[in-house]
Amino acid sequence: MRHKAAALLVIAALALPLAALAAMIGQQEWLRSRVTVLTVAVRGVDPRDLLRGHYLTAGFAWSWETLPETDGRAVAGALCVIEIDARQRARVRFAPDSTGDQAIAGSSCRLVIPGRLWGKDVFVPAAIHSANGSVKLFVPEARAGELERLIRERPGALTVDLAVRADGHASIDALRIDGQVLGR
Amino acid sequence: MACHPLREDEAVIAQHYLRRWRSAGLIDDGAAERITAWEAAHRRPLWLWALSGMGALAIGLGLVAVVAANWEEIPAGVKLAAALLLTGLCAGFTAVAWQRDREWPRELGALLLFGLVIGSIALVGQVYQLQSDPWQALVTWLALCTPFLALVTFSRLVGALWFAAAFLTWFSAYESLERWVGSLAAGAARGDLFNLLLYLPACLLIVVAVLRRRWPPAEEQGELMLKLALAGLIGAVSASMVAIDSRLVSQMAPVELWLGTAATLLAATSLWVGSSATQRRPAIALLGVSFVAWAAALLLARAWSPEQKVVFEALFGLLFIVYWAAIGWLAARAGQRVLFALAFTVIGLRLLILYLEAIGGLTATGFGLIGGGVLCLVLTWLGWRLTRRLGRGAIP
Repeated sequence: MRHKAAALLVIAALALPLAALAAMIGQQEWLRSRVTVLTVAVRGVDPRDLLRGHYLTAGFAWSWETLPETDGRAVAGALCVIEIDARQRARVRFAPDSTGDQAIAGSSCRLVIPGRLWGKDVFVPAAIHSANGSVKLFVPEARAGELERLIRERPGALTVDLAVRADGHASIDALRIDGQVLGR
Repeated sequence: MACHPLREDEAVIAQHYLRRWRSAGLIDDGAAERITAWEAAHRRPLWLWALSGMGALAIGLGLVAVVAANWEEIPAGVKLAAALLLTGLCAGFTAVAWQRDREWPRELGALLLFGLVIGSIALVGQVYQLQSDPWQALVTWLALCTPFLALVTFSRLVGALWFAAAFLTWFSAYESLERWVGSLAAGAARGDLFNLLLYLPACLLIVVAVLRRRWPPAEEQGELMLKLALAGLIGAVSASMVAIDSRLVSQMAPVELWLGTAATLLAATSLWVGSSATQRRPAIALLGVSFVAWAAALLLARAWSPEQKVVFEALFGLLFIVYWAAIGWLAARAGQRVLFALAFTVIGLRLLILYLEAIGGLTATGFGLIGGGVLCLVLTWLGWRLTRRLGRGAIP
C-alpha cells in the first residue's frame, strides 16, 4: 500500500513536466485562437546581436494618428487602436498613464494595449520584453543576412503579426516578408 | 565489509600504492600478489565503456547536428510534438528504472529529463515568440523538475547539478530579487544588496541540504549538498569582504543585516534540528563564524571613510585573515586536512598581498617580493608541519 502510494507520487512527479509543457502549448494555442491580429511593420535597430543568437533586433513602426508629445524619456501608458484596415494595419495614438484613463475611455478605441513609449514614436507593449524600445525577433539562420539587408533597404517589407487579447496583452505571433509568413 | 572491484584508473593507482606499501614493509609479497590477483579477476572494462560511451556520444551529436541543420525546415508543430514525445519517453524510462531499482539508468533518465524540460521550455518560447526574462523560464524549470529530482535521484552528481541549476536561477534573477528585497526597505535605507544576494542563497541552500540529508536514501546527496552550501557560504563571505575592501560595493543597506540574520537563524535551526550532535557542531560553528565575519564586514563598510582608507584596508585584510584562520581552526578540529591546507594557503596569499600593498617604489617592491617569497616559504613549512600533525590527530 505504501509502495503503491510512493509509485503514484513518483509517476505524478514525472508526469508534471510533461503536463505543464502540454498546458503551456495549449495555453498559447488557445490564446492565439482568441486574439485580434494586427500587422505592424518593423524597422531595424541593430541588425543582429552577435552574442545572443539568431534574431533581429528591431522596433515597431506604428501608424500614428498624431505623434506623441514626449521629452524623449520612457513613458508608461497605453496605445489606443483607433481603427484596423482590411490588411489588419492599425492606426494608433498614445495616452500616457499621467493623463489617467479618461483619455482612453473617452475615445472609441477598438483595442487598448498597455506598454511604454521609449522615444517620440517607439512604443512597445508591456507583455513584450524590451529594455530600450527594441524587441528581439527569432529568424532562420540561413536568411539572417538577407533579412538584415531587407530591413535596411525596404522599410515596411518586414512585418509582424501582433496577437492582441481583449485585455490588451500582446504577443508576436508571426514574422512576415511582404505578407508571407517567414516563421512562427 | 563489502568490496567493490576497482576501475582501470583506480587499479593503476592501487598498483602504485601496493609497490609503495610493499617497499615500506607494510604488506608482504603474498598479500600484494593476492590483492593484485583479486583486482585482475574483478577488473571493470573501463576502456570498453569509454569506447561505447564515445560511440553513443557521436550518435547523439550527429543527430543534434542533423536536426540543427534542418531546424528551420521542421514545422513548429512537429518540433513541439517531438519535444513532448521525448519528454514523455524519458519520464517513462525513468519511472521504469525507478520501479526496477536500476540506479544508473534512473539517475541518467532523470538527468536527461531535467535537460529536456529546459530545452522544451526554450522551444515553446521560440515557437510562440515569448519575450519573458530568462529567470522566469529557469524558475519554471526548477519548479517542474524539483519534485521528480527529489523523489527519484539520490546520486551526488545529480545533486550537484541540481544545486548548480538553483544557483544559476538565483543569479539570473539578481536584478528582480534586488528590486524585490529593496522594496522591503524604506526608500532612504536602500543600498546595494550585493552582499545579501550572495549570502542569502548559501543559507537557504543549507536548509535544503539538511532537509535532503534527513531522507535516508538521499543522505549522501544531502551531505554533498551541505558541503557545497557551506563552501558557497565561505565563498559569499570572502567575496563580500573583498568587494567591500576594493570598493566594488559602494552602499550598504541596513535591511541586509536583518535579512542576513534571519537567514542565518533559519540555517542554524535547520542544522540544529536536522543533524546529530556530532554533525551539527562543526557546521553550526562555521555558520556562526561566517555570520560574524560577514556582519562585521558590513558594519565596517558603513563606517568606511576615504580619509582613513589605509586603516580600513588593513582592517578588512585582518578580518579576512581572522575569518580564514577560524575556518582553518574548525577544519583542524574536524580533521578536514584539505580544508585546513586551503585555509592556510588563503591566509598565506592574503598576507602576501597585505605585505605587497604596504610597500612602494621599485627597490622597495623588489625587497617586498623577496620578503613575500620568504614569508610564503615559511608558511609552507609551517603548514606542512601542521597538516602532518593533523594527520596524526595531534591538533585537538
